[in-house]
Amino acid sequence: MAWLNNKRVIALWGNWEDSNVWGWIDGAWRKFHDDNDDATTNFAILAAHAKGDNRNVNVRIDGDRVKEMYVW
Amino acid sequence: MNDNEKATPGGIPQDPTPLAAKVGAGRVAPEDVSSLRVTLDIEGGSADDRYEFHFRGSGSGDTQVEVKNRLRQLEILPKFGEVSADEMIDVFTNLDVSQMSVVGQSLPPIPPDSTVGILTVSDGRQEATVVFMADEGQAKAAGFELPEDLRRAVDKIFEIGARQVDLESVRP
Repeated sequence: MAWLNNKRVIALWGNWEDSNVWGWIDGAWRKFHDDNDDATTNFAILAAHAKGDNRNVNVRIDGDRVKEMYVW
Repeated sequence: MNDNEKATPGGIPQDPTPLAAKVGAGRVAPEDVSSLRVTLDIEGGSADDRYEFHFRGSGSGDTQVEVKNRLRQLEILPKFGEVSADEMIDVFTNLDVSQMSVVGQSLPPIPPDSTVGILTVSDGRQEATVVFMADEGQAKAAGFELPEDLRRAVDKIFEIGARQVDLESVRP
């Protein structure tokens, strides 16, 4: 488990599949938590706001998935 | 749907982080060169065929090379030298920070006693590192391939290192 602090969301990607949204954060594609559709959607919304407003994020990565996110 | 069957993003965005803007993509801004540093540390093998290569290089051309190779009964203590800034620029222009991150994520399980390299580029504030299988034979057997531009950077470092210690090759 690791926190990536004060990072930018550089790009976002998603497709037609359920719970399949990724963000380019700190030099790599990071997949948003995908066990709950709600969580995936929530992270996508937060990340889109961060990207659109050029705000920093803190994200917690666990098991290759984004599990938690702050948008500052 | 099984998660392993889902599609994944394929492209790599332009990464505007300061370090990514300074190196890679075939160019290095002249005003940034002096602040850049690159290190390559390679170690591997069992006790009988232990191999080590350590390289430090700065954008100004200062270098340090150390080689240990038990198979060749070779031990060269850290040797300091100097190369032209153009030669170091050749290294930095091939160090794509985004690609280094991607390689790190796709690294296969590394078998014990493998020869492993750690390549790091820094501008004094940020740094990017990639871990890779440095022995071509071992890498091929494991299905690992270093991207072409990163391989060129490593090749150039080996070339500089060999010249600095008066050897034809310092590769594993």
